[in-house]
Amino acid sequence: MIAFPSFPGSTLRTLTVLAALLTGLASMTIAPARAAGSAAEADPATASAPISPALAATARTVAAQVCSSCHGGNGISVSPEFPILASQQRDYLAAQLRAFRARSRAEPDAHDYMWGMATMLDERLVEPLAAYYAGQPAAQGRPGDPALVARGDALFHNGLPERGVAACSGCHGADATGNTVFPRLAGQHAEYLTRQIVAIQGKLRDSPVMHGIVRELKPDEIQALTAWLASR
Amino acid sequence: MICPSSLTYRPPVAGHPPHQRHAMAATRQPDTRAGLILLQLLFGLVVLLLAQPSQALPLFARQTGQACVACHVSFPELTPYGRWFKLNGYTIGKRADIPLAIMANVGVERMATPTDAAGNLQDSRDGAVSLSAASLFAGGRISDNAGAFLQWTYTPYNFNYPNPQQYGGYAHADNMDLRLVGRSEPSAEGFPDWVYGLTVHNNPTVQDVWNGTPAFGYPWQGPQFANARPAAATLIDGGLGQQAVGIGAYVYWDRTLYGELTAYRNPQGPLNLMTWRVDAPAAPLHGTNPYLRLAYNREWGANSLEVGTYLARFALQPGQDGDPVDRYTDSALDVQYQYITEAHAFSVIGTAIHEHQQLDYTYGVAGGSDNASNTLDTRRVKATYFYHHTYGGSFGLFQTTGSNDATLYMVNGGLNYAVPDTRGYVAELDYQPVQNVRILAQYTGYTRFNGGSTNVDGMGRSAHDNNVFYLDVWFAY
Repeated sequence: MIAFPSFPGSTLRTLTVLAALLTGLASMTIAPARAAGSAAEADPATASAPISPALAATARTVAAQVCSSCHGGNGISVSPEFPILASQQRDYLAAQLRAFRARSRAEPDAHDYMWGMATMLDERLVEPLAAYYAGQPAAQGRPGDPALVARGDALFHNGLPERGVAACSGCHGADATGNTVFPRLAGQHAEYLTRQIVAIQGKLRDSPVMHGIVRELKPDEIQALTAWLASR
Repeated sequence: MICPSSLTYRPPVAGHPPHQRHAMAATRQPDTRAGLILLQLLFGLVVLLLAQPSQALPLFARQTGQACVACHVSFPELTPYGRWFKLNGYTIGKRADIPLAIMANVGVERMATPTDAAGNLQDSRDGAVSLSAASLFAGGRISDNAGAFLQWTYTPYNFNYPNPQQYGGYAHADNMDLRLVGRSEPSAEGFPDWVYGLTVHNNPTVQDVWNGTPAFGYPWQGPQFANARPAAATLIDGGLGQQAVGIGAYVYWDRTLYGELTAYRNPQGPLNLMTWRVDAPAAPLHGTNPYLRLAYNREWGANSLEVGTYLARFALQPGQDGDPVDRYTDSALDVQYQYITEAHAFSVIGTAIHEHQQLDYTYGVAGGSDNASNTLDTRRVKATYFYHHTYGGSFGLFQTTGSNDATLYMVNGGLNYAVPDTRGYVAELDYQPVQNVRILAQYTGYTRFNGGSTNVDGMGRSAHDNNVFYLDVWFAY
């Protein structure tokens, strides 16, 4: 026998009450998230406006409730699968969020995680989020094999002139803290940095200048560089 | 991503009358033509899906814009982010315009010895390519604080039908979980210290986020048409799926400690929709049945570790109101370790369940067992590896042992042994050409089956005669 559900009068009443409850719940939001909702409906043309306290608070909430699940509390990720964002350059972060949205950054991790997230992010939240993470205290470096770290240090500051590899410090700064659109590399997960260099070598990121610089780097050189950077 | 309970179908439980989950279709006329049309439609859909780039992803993926691998090692095993997504009530992302997804399994099974000594098929579709289940999903984000996971499954073949090679399909409620959630303000550490919520669901442990618990445990999917199935399982291990409704409250602190208290009852009023067209069990729940879950979680580097316990006390009422009831106390431990990067994903998951059965009705009133109380112990462990989310494999061991009770298992259960012991392994290789398609080759082997390794049916059949090879294409959209 096939048991189709029946709706006696009392069940209908209960259903009505449930429906009312659900409707009420659907309209129940926590305050910062409501701000996020209104931001999502705002005109993207105002993106360059100064960051209002309300948007800054929204960015902090979005960072805490969504981004933190991979990028960690305050932008210090636990897993090397995900980059540390704390103290990253604001301009670089904003440029990356837009690159995910434009899908011009196309390494597998970008495709799997960030394309969708960035697409859902309202333009007005891009700068506040970037500013939020730029303002977080940097992660502490993690010491690596001393010989490897020393080799990476030399590579970073001197490059490989005989093979035409420019010194990284020229753009990323002597202490690897970055500058505007040149990202901070100091304290980043070595595994993440390695994947990015390989992605740039494979032209999966739209960075022709970096491609020209790193395309000749060999795996052992990448290992040394990223070990030094992670130790900063 | 979303995943089916029909893939983790478990056999009826010995020690209390098995519910005839698929018996209802016995009165339906097989409709081969409709089935063929459905198969053709599904085939067309598969072709269409394979022609699409991998943005073609199911409901939750569409909602978050992320790939399946963001939340799953392999469906349905959750990653740390997948756990966070579920505990946040499926609310992360943007509400889908069409909050629906579909899923289907098409495969073929081959049993080592498909026919027993009496000439009966022990795998009702041995060697035949079959659609074993198709599901519709709805839900996802409703608001910032509410979300749902709702699954209905169409089962094309009637498992209990006298001629199960034929269509006798019907649709029914499958796994469901509705949530209301809240979060504390971001702490100094930059994330909400407290995530808390309410869940209403229809299958004990379907609400859990660690895959050592039974509802979404390994194997994720298996042969659907093998009639020879282990007879005994603890009640929490699938015995109440789509039979009971649980209302629970949970809290997750500092992404470290998880606690949940849920009460299970027979569905009432509109909650009957959560057991839609699933036959009422022969022995329904009695009263309110508590379930407690505690888990410790730690994440470091690409690693995560969980150690937990889940405890439940169920009362079943095989008799009339006022009769004594049978009480089942299930205590379980689970452990899970995962290492997940883009290139390599590895996990080990295990669980041990001990069940104490106080058979006041079955023994005391019905005389259906030799013992007033019995025990069952189930242990399972599995390891999985995936390379670039594409090539993978799993190997699992399972074992159930129980106390000696000739009346319960031999006289009433029809077994050839007075103990229900079953032991074996499940080995599988997986290929995921795109993230929402899984091609799977799986072998289930038994070294002991319903009490023995030889003569398990009294007609000379060995445990390993029930071994099954299973080749399947799983897809979701």
